[in-house]
Amino acid sequence: MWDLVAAVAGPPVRLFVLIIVLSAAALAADFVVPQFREWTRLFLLVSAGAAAMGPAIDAVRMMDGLVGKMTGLFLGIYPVLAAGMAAAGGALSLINWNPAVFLFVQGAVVIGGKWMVPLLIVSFILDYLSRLVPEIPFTRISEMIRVTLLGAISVIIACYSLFITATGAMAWSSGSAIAEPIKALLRQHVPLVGSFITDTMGVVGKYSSGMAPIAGSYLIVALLVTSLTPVAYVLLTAFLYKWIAALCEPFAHEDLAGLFDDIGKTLFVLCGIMLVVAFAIFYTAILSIVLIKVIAGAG
Amino acid sequence: MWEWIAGLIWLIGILAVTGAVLGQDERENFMPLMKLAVLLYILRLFTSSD
Repeated sequence: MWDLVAAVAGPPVRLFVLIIVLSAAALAADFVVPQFREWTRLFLLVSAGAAAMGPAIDAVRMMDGLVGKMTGLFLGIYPVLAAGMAAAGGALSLINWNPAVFLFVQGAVVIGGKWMVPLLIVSFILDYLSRLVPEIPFTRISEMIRVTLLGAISVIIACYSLFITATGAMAWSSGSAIAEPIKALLRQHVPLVGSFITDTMGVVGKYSSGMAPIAGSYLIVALLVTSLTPVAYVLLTAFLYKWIAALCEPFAHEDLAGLFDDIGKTLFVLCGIMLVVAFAIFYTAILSIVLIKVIAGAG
Repeated sequence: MWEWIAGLIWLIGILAVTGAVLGQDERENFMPLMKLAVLLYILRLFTSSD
């Protein structure tokens, strides 16, 4: 866990040090040569802005790579999985799976790769350009992109919830009395995507508690940790951007603090997309395990 | 689409440098002209066939 935190925190901490150095240089330049104030601001925004994009674009590219791998995995494994399920007969009644879920998993991955990642990068760029020339703002377009993406994610998650809970076999049994306050806390305090996180947690929880007798609870926990690690990575990066924005607000140029704030906001949306992909990974792994069990005659 | 975004980055970059060259007062006068350039560029997105 601490390895993950150290790996995530490294680039933003270096970025923060760079911002401090650049801001100090800009403040000194403003004091010594006030007539070049415009140029100082331009150089500060270009250098610090380009550096700020680094960790954010890294997170988006990680997501892009993950989605690409998932697409390959789905295309390879799903026909085999579906055929095996059909051939095994009893599997259909055993886990109450629905073939339409394949469509949603595939759809989520394709939409995530083809539309969401490019739109997020465009959103980063438009935020940056609006800070570069404040008189020509693109803030509403990038806000609209974020809101549209959040809407699309919420529809996909709602569809998952419908399909998983409609089968009725799974119940959220693992200590809901403890889980509810944690959910309420997350919903209120994680900006933008808090309710998505809790909803997906509920869906995954329901599904995994239904699957635990078949696949084994240790395996379920291992799968959950593996599939949710990228989500944790993006969430931590988003919070680090928010913290950098808060810390450098008193002394850095106000456009820089605003830029970090906007990057943080966009990364929270990316975190929502990652949740959908994480759920797709989890679902595929579980289905593969169930299929192997059925074929081996242990299910 | 990506070509259009790359072009937009160039355009805004040129406008930012022009704004810095002109200075605060002159910049105010030239801003309508700059906005017109951005408007024409956005129109290109809708008129281009691809």
